[in-house]
Amino acid sequence: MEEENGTDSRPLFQQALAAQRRGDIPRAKELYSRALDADPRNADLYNNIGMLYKSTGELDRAEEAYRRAVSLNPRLAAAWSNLGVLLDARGRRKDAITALQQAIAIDPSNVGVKVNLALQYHASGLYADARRLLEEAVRANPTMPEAQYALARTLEAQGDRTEAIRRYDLFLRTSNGRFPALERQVTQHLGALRAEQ
Amino acid sequence: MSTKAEAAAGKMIRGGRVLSGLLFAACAAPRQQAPVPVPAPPPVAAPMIAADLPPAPVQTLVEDSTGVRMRDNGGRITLTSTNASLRDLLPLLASAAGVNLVMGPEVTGRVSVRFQNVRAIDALNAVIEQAGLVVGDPAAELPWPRPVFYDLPVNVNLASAATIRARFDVTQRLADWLVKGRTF
Repeated sequence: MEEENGTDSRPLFQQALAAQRRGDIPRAKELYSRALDADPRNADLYNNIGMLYKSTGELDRAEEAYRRAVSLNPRLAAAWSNLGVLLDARGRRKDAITALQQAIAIDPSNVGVKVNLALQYHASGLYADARRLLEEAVRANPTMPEAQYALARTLEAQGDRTEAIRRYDLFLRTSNGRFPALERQVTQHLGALRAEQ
Repeated sequence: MSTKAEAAAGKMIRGGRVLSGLLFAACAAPRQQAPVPVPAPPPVAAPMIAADLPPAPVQTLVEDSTGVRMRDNGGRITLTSTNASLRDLLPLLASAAGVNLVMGPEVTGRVSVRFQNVRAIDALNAVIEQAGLVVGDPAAELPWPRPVFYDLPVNVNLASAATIRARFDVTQRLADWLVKGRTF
């Protein structure tokens, strides 16, 4: 990660990553920009910059960054997956599925990719396919709240209310306040589901 | 939820109007027996259906995808890598060296290397040697060509439903849906 003039961009990368994780978007953008000056062919940088742009609603720039990431490193499954999530948010579901299929072909064991692809299947009414992927995901990583939550939604859509309630409970137990708004919704929803039983 | 509750209340009101109309008709025709009033159904709180809950996709920050950082300077590279996967490192070096590379499924393992301004092809050969791999024409060792099966990439925009199903291990319904949904 050395530049022509000898600058090592890794410290900048780490500082940018730390800023992004604590939500300091302007600082993260500045640091990533400087890291890119030093290492313009780093696909990881473009992936993380894409996430920054998505978080600020700059979707064109986010897509450009993700596409740059996968062109620099076509085996970067995370960038394909993030691109798929972005394309879905932009209403391009078929493109999203194509990107997510790429991601899972590269890294078939990636739990995050499985969850994202399952969300596409669920949204398309393909609940059996979604459930298969999500059951694999929760087996591989039972503490990933997104996987428990997505499985709960799919089970409920299939009419398996008892198992859905169990998975919603597991989501609440594993999320640990990471999704405050969603946790409130799920708690309310669980109350309604239990009242009907 | 409030919209559904209001809609339910609206139905109850309309039901009440119908009942009033029946009672009025009974009064106008005294020979008929008055209908037994039907109790209104108890109000039911509209449950939040699963579709009301938003999806929660997973987004992934990348810290170091390969453990490999390479600077390409006109075919000469500078690269330091600790415990990098051969399946990540070899394609990078092959790309920098401008050579085509096909890896068999048996190519696995990790290596640590440090190259400072060396020719990419030399770095590639060094890694291949360090990993105990061999480059060559396997068919030359045999009196007949060795059958080779590669897991070729599949373009889901062009592949048949059967191919998609076999390659991605999805249901026939999903494969058909992907094919039928094409708009080009």
